[in-house]
Amino acid sequence: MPLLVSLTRKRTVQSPPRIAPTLHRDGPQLLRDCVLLRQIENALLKCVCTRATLLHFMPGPNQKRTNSALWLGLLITVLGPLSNFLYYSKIPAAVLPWLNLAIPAIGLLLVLIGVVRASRQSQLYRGKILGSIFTVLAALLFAGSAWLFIHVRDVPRSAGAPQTGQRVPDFTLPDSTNQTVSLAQLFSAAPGMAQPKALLLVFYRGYW
Amino acid sequence: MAISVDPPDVSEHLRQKQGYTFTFLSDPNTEVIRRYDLLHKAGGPKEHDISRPAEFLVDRSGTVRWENFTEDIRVRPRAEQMLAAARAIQW
Repeated sequence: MPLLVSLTRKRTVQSPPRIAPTLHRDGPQLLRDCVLLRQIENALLKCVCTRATLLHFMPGPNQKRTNSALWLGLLITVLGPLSNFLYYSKIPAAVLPWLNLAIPAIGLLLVLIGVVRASRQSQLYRGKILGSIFTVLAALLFAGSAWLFIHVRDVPRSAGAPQTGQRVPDFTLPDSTNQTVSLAQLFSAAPGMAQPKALLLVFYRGYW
Repeated sequence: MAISVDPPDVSEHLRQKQGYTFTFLSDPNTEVIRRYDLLHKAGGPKEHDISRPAEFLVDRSGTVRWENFTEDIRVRPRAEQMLAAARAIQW
């Protein structure tokens, strides 16, 4: 009898009407979950498909894109040494040394970007071998420009040179016709000319 | 007028080639260059001593009214710049 009672109780507990409402109540939520899962699945599928398509239609060795950064970089680096001719232009000379250095630096940077591109996206971009050759060329051109930049600026301080307001030392030196000329003489009037107010002394490096 | 370590014949050649009419003085032993503290030791070809580039505008009393010392041998004052400096001074 106690067993029977317990069995009956159990049956009452597991009665179907109690489960059905539960399912019914969670139905909309379950449906929402299903829709969300399907969306995620679709999105994933789309992703995989695109990747598959991309891999399938990946350009072959002869269809790869030209690594434009490499070529542009080398071109700019070559322009570096050529930019020294800008000293003959009207561009203010004071900015030119920095321009002469910046141009090959930018060029070298572009070449390096091209090299990174060729190694990281090797299926898309050409230039693995070309990249290493261009890097050596661009690095040499940049090193040359950097060396020149340091060399041409290696000028003595000349702290003891005459400054504005100071008297310059007089001297006597031979001119280009081997005639001895003194500074004082240069201030005297040339035949048929007025005595000069001032004299411009230009010291230059020579070896022309 | 211009001063360098070039011997007179070299300066004369340069003067005629460029058509310059001003005086070129030769200081091969860097005597005057040293006196002006403009010596650039081993600055020339084959480690020869030369003058560093420098420009002085000097009045009749021998006083410097304007000067220019470049930090970069490629950067030199242009003729217009030196003329402008000369015009800006009360003589």
